[in-house]
Amino acid sequence: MGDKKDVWQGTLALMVLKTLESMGPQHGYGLARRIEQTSGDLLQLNYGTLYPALLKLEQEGYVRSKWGISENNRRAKFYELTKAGQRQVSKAAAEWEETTEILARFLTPAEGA
Amino acid sequence: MKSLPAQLRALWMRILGVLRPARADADFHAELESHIAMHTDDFVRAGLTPVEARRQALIRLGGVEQTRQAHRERRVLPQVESIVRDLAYGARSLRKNPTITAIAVLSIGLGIGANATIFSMISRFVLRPPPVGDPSTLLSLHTTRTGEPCCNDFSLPMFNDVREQARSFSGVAAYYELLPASIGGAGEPQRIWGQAVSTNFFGVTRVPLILGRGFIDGEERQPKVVLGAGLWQRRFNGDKDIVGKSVILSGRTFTVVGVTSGLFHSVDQILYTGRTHTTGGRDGSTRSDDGRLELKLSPPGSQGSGTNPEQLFAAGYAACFHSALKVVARRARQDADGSTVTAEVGIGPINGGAGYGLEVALVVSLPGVERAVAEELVAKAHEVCPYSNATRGNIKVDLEVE
Repeated sequence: MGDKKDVWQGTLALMVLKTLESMGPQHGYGLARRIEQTSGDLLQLNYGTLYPALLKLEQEGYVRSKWGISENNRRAKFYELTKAGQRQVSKAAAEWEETTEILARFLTPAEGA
Repeated sequence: MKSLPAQLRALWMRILGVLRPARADADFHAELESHIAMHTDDFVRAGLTPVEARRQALIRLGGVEQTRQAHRERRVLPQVESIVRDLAYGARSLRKNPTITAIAVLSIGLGIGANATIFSMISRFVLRPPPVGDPSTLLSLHTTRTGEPCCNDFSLPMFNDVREQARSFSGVAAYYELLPASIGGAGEPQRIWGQAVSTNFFGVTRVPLILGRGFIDGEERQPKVVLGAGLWQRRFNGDKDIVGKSVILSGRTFTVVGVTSGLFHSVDQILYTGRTHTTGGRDGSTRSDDGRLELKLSPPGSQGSGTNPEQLFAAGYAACFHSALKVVARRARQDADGSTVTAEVGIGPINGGAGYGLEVALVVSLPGVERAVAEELVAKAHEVCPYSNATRGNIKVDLEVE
């Protein structure tokens, strides 16, 4: 396994949105597990860091939350994507691709002085 | 990153958050408990005892109190009181201590404005470790703006506050962006680049020095300079007794206190170094060390089939400018699809034939945006593009929007 990477805020938000987009409504714990899994365990986040990120997304109107019952019969707060959130996923994903592409141009000539 | 309405909405929600803290707190507490319960369930299913399972769940959460605190901070408006406190403190210490450093004069960016919220975003040097004592312990500080990383243009009062109050760092130093200077004295005047830094810069970064010392407290307003090894070799023939001698920079006399090791240029990063090897001059060939570029060279107007430095410069400048243009267009949310950049590079004698100079004309086509906007974007790209920055003030560069 490689190093466990730190997660920084914007990336985390995008991962959350993307996960909600592909998986449908999820509770915080489910999201955290899912993100960790999807990253192939390369990324280990403190699950707690997810909640401020979720709150921010909710404040921005990209997700909404409501209480429900989990698959194992626990009361849990579920998050789902709003319309604005769906638009934001595609926009943020495009921006992210552009950013990584730019960075890749700097990094690929693996020749450093 | 985000649209304005989302930011405004978030701001409004946070204002509301100030008004009903207890309910939100209880709600989040319940949410966390449910998270911990679910995680504990999973650990129990994986074979841990309930006690150990809960303990592990808490560890993976990163602490209940820390999480609640982070959540609370996000819920309400950023530390309004702490901003007020910082401002008052800055004003007080300024009055007390009017010895503003030489850098201060340069770096006072009138920064304590709207976006200078608080120094919470910390980015590591990501690409290549800078030539400092221990790169892994060196961080660069940025302010954030509605949670997004923003700028690192701290005003002096803010820098002083951070330096004095931030307990998470063993030291906080400041540097100002590259400053041009002309170096006089013996020999031809020459344009060089330097950086203004706070007196504790060398202590904090532990940049290795091969001669003398870095700056010390109390030298804020004194004309002292630390030379880079390159300049020291080139200009002073590696004079071992340089410390204590004077150099003239842009007409002012500075005393040399030290010389950095050869590695050091600045803590800013060189992102990528392109390297090419040329043989045979105007009638030869050039290739890059990674083999991606391989070209024959022929003098312009000759029968040869090769290219020439003017074409290469034109291609490089146009590509550079175009890439900068796309970046600024994206930032301004403008459509740069279908845009093109045509570069003309002319060569001719200058200084009465003593040398040759270049002049550049860039013709930009931005079909997706209005002319006025296009002109603005082109002007911005001219500030961003490295070729523009390298040539500014030296050669004529005409910009035209088609």
